Amino acid sequence: MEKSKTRDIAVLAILTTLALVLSLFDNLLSLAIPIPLPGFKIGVANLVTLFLVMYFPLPKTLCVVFLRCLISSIYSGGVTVFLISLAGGVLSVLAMYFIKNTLKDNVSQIGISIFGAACHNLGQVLMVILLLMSPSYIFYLPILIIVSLATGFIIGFVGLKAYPRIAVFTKLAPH
Amino acid sequence: MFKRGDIIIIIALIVCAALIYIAPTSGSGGDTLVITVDGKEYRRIDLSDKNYTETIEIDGKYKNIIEVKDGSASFVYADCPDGDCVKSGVLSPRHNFAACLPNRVSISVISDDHELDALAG
Repeated sequence: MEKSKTRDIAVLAILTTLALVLSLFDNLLSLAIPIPLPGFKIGVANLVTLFLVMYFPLPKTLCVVFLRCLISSIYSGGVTVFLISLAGGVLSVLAMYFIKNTLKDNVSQIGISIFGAACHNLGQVLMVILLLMSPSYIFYLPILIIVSLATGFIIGFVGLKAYPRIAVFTKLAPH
Repeated sequence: MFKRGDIIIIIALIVCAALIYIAPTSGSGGDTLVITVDGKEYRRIDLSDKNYTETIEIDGKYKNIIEVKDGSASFVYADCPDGDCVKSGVLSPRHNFAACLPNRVSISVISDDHELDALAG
């Protein structure tokens, strides 16, 4: 019991670090892609989130997502960026668990990932509306949802191929 | 690779996006520019005069320059790291909102005085 707790802490810490590195990489990658879309990101860090959703229970996933948002906003961004990324992160995690537990075997990681990406955008847009008190921002949501179909697919597809191999390596069973 | 649930999710999301897109855009086609700073209204400018030109500088955590001309407005300069607001371009009836999130400055075009509050309700 004690041993598995220590192991959990270590694994979650590694995953948090991995998510942070990937989100830095994501910033560079998104700058390199000339899409005239404010705030556009592929969301490579969500590879970690999706992995957590597939192999860990909800509280642990939320913990990693919270830490990722907190730490990444400390070295770039600030309070506003923290609130926006937390809103997106938490909503997408809840949405992914919801869809995974409702549709069970009828949904693959691709579907879960796409739904998570769309809800990530929804959470962020809602937080922006709240912070700026400008409901007009909602009209930006349709294009973000369409884009999240593509980015969610990429993450889901990579996850589908990569996770089984990582899981064997780390002796994890799908949760 | 795709399962039935995946297809349902994709279709549902496309439908959602389409519904939001075609939803009545009460804010579009207006002629009043509202600039907000930190969630509070900062300036209100009448855009019905197409010849009216003004350059507004906002100094917060970062510096933003907003240009009002030809009955519309845009962020023309920002010294924040991402510069998303400048990428947003000039406001149009469809695209009637732009913001500099690091600086918490937004510009939007609305059609009359009370509707923004009504929506924020």
